[in-house]
Amino acid sequence: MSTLSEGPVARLLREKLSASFQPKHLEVECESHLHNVPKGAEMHFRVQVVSDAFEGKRVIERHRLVNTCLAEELATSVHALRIDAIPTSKWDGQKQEESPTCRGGFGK
Amino acid sequence: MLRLVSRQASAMLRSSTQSFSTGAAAGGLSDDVRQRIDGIVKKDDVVVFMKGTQQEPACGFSRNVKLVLDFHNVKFRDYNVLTDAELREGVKIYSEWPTIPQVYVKGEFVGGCDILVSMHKDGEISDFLDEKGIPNKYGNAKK
Repeated sequence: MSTLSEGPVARLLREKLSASFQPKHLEVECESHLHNVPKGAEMHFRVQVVSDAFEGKRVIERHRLVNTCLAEELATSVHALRIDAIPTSKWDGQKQEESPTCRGGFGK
Repeated sequence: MLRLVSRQASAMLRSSTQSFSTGAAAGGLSDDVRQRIDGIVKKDDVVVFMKGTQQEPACGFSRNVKLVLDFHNVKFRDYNVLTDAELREGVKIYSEWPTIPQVYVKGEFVGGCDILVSMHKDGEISDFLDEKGIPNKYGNAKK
């Protein structure tokens, strides 16, 4: 998805992650269309962040940094967040995992 | 209406999560709930807080965690947060982790779906489980 078509929530996540991590590479994509929510909803996201800030940190610590950065959004509008937080030295253009198939979730 | 009320309640609880995780007082989680979750994560070696059950996961993220653990022949105790609002919000505060599913091994928080899948892909999950003394398909016990 291009940044041109991205919604306000995606833009906000992008801004916050950029400011916190000065990423070498950053992808923010709304995946709500894959889930059981109304059309146009911005609730499910994937983020891939490549940053020096993740060097030498265990995966759980890297995820906590991202969760903390986006705590406000996770407490309000963002329902699901897939995180790929990569130290710059480990970045070789790898793609983030595919999203799992929705099992009904929110609608159940 | 009920749903609305419960959402408002979650929003309130969730804002406590946030202040907690940013280092403010450990409010938002009553002693009762903290003790309850303490008991749950210590009672069984591997515990998963999930949406739905291991027989019928109601969310793709929860299902992926189940699939990884099944793949490694790891037995786990599941708790369905969709039928337990106290647990659903409480565990987020307890773990300082904003999303479900959540995996605990021997009382220690391991991570959510992305982390379990990445431990599986990297192969480190067998070493981790061995280290914790949890029987698993590709671990030392089988070599």
